[in-house]
Amino acid sequence: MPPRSLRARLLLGIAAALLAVFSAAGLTLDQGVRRSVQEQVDRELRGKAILLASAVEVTKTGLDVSFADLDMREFETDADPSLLVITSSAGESLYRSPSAESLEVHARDTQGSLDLSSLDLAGHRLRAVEVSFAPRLDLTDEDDLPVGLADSAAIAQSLRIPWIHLFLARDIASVDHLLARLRLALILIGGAAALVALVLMGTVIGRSLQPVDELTKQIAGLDEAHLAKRVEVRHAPQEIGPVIDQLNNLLAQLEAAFERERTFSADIAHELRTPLAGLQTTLEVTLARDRPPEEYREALHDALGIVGQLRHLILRLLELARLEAGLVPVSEERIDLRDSLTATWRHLEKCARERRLDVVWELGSDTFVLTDRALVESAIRNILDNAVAHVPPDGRVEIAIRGPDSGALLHLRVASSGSTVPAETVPILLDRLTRRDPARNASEGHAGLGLAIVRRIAEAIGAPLSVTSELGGDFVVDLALRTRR
Amino acid sequence: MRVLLVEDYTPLRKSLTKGLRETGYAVDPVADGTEAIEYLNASDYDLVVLDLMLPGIDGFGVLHHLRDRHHPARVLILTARDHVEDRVRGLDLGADDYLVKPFAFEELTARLRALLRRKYETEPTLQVGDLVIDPTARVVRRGDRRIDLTAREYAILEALAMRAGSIVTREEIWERIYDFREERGSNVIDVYVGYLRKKLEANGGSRLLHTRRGLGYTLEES
Repeated sequence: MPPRSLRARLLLGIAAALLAVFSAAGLTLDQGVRRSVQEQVDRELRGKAILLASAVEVTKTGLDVSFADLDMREFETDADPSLLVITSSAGESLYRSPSAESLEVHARDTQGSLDLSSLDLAGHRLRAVEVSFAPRLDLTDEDDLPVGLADSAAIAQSLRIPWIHLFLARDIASVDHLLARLRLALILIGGAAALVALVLMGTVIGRSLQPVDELTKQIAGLDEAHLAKRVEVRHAPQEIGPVIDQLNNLLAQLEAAFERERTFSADIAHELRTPLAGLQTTLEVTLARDRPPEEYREALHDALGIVGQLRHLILRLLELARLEAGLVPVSEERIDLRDSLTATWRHLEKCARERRLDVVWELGSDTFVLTDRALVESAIRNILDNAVAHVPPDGRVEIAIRGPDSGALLHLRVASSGSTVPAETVPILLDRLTRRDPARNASEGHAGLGLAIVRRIAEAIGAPLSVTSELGGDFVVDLALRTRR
Repeated sequence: MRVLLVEDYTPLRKSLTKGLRETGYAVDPVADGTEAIEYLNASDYDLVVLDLMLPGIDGFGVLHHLRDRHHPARVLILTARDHVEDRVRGLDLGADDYLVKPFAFEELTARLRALLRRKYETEPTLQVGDLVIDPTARVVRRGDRRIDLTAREYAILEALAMRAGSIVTREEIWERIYDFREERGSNVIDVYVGYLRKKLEANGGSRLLHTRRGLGYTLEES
């Protein structure tokens, strides 16, 4: 089943609720009206029966039925006539309306009763009332009455007057018809009202969901090429406000990440382009004409130097990429920082001498740390490389192991003089490919990868790293390593 | 022709200098923007090959300087930055061409020749009378005869042909064909002009290279 839209769900729910409410209301109304109409019919029927009963009199000559004062038209009409049968308990038929010629009516035993019933007769729905009563005495001369017979029942008995049974029925087809029309009206009005309500609700829902549609449309328009776009929905309801905010936050983060990636790739390309251009030009110029062997030798030597730089750059990029991807396993062992430092320094000694650097060592007695050997040695190499490469000629490099401090951390601290980094650019320096200077340190071809690698390593081995710089003052890298678990 | 090469990456600077000199240009290589501006103030350059990312004053700073001084040099930006914004900024600041590293050396020299043609408003081949100079192939012909010249001789001839009909002073020839590393001999130009004239007039050709006493030289049909 395909997922239903929010709009369809709401409309269906509302339609169901409307149906239930309108049905219940219609049903109650229908039943109420039906009952009160029925009661009205019964009341009329009863009243009529009592009126008719009063027309039965006992006279000196016997039982007499006189409808003289009554409107008897309803019994004489052809269409849906009312039925009236009056019989005595003796079986004597006192009156029978033309419409009730074939009707058999049995007198009741009970006297003084009044019963209502519904019945079908020859396709007609009838409401009937049956009354058993003692007829009224119409004795003109009261003196004729036996003494002591005050009430009519007693009189009737003494006079052996029979009980009268009156059967009155009226056709209620017209009432049924009326009720049916009422029901139809209720259904029609209810249906129409429900329809109108539904249409109104549909419009309201449509309006309310417009921001959602708008949101959907805007989200559909998002891709990695348009990350600078932000979702903006006018008149956004409270419910989707947080969604939009969160989405925009996410977009901003994505954009920043993509931008970092883009800058990174561009920087890599840039770093590789210059040495590559050097290599290509060296080879092309050399091959442009015949030369003495020593010129070829020199060109090859130059080319090899450039290849070395490219190799160094690419290896560092790979190292950084592996660190970033979390592909480097981290182990833990006890290592002597002093050994690592001096071993790494051996490779840099020549360069430091050439640049006439003043190197100051300050190694404490406690030099053992608990960490990953390969990673920490890579960090040391990068920190020292960085210091030697960026300190100005005749500058000073201080290499120190201090501590352990109160947190049992041993500090490897390397400070170099003549920093070209303003304090506020330090964070940029730690974020992958950057340079201290807008341009690389002349001729070194140094991409600013070293500190970014150190930072990733510090994160991987869980060592706090602090880098501070003061323009023209000291550039200080401080890596704090654990001495115990 | 005189070229100022501004490139901070030593191996590239070295090979470019060598290649351009062998092509016949007088090249002054410098490694940073500050030095570049000193050189530009001291001498007239036909061309500047300029890297953008430089220590000290960067390439854009050098462009600013050139523009403020209305320096006549044509500038080719040679850089690893390939962003459109960088190219637009460079060209808007008055650079005449833009080449992204890495590049083919041949393309660089072709672009430099194109810049020279624009600077001196000349055709791709230079012609004075029956003398035809093809700067691309560095071939010189007089009628059907091909004339073989040394790099120096060719450079002097090209400097004169670029401004054919006008007097070019010895000092101007110096500026065009010698860079700062070379000592200026008193009569070296005269000696080279003598060799050049002899080669041009071999086989009884008419005089094209005239000496304007006390002023300099002119290349024109007499």
